[in-house]
Amino acid sequence: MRSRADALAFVALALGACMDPTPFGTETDEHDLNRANRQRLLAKTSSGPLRFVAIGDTHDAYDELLETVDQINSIAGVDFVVHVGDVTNFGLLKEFEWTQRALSGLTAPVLVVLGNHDAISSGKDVYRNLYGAFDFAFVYKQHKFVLFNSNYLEFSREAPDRAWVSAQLSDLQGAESAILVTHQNLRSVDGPVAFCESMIQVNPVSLVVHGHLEDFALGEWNEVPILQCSTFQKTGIYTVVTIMNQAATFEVCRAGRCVARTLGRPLEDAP
Amino acid sequence: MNSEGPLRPLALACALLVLGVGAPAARVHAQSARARGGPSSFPLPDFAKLQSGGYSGTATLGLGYSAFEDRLNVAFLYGYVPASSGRSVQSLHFLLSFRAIELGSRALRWLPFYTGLGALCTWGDGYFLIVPKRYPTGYYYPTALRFTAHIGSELDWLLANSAFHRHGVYAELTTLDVFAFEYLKNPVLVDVTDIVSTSLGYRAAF
Repeated sequence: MRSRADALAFVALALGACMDPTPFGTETDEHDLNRANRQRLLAKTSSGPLRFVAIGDTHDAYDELLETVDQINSIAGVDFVVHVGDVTNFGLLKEFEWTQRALSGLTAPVLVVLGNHDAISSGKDVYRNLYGAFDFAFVYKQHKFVLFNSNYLEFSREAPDRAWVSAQLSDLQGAESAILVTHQNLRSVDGPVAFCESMIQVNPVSLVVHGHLEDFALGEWNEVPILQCSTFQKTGIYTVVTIMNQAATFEVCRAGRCVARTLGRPLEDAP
Repeated sequence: MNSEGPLRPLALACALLVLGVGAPAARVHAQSARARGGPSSFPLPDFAKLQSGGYSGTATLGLGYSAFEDRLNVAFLYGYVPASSGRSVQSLHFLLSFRAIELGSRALRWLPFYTGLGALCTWGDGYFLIVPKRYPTGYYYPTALRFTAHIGSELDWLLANSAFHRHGVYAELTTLDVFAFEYLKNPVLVDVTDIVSTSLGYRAAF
């Protein structure tokens, strides 16, 4: 009798679990979420200052991200959330799904940039299915947000798409300035530093937001404010950015507690 | 994009994996055959498998060897997942199963519980066993090889006048190293059904 009960329990468990054919798949249940969330954002009628939350490099800190989603939801006046990439460790479909499960609890629209860890394994295909294009831009509250893939090593140095970024910055579509959001540190001497430097020198860029590096930093590079979000998986940090009358203020938050920060000393080129 | 010849080291590593683990398995098989008093049939396999799920593929074909009166099985599966909106996936899954518990008669046998470990290998853009030189040291772990663990149950029977010595059907639950780790690390968000894949299969012993 006992072995029969064990057998029934085994069959029940087997039927309850899914028959996942591969961990390397790319099929997602949801599609083109960045486009859907942009549309949600642009449909908003908020008249207050521009306020968004920047977070990045959450990797496999899914439970911590879930708690942070509740904290972000409690912040008043947040227009949207931007994740600057590395939502996974290995670029696996299941990792994207777990991050998205946590992010789906946000009341504000969330936009996700491609990180380098998201671009290995089948991650490029999963990202395309789940979030959409690697590069996209939109105008909101007089600012043109340019979100782009800067993972030059994972794209054989074909990223960033220089022509696309240049075109976006040369036509601000009526916005007063541009805000660049990407994963890689644009100051990295190994990366497309010269291109990015030239872009922000000749175009009205008011802020650059990036991830990839472990430490939090807030400073200036070529007189442009740079927000280096830090690795959330290690630091638990997310940043609330508020822009009013072309002036940005920053609140650095961890575990629901936020502290105002001002721009620090000029950032040097990172190694 | 990531196309600077990742297939060559991958193919080499897969071959080494097969030879490295297959050779001792073959020795075990030969010893077992000798222990039973008969000549070794190696390299002819002892059984074939058809399977779906278990992270091995939508459609999976495999061959394997048994030893110690079928209590140790070594199987090598090729799996395929067709593309729909993404890309197709091919994988090789090497499996070692310990099948110590056996009930029933010789004609109708039930293995209520067996367990085992595996190595799952895939290839394609973005997958590598040896981290490409363009990345800094320690930047990534290999992406093309994952380790698995499984439990299963099998019912098999003898058929007279059949080309196969023994037919069997089995069900297994398989988990992946990284999934099991994330389940332990994230007990709130990651559910047990996230980290387990069911497989159903047919096994024919020669």
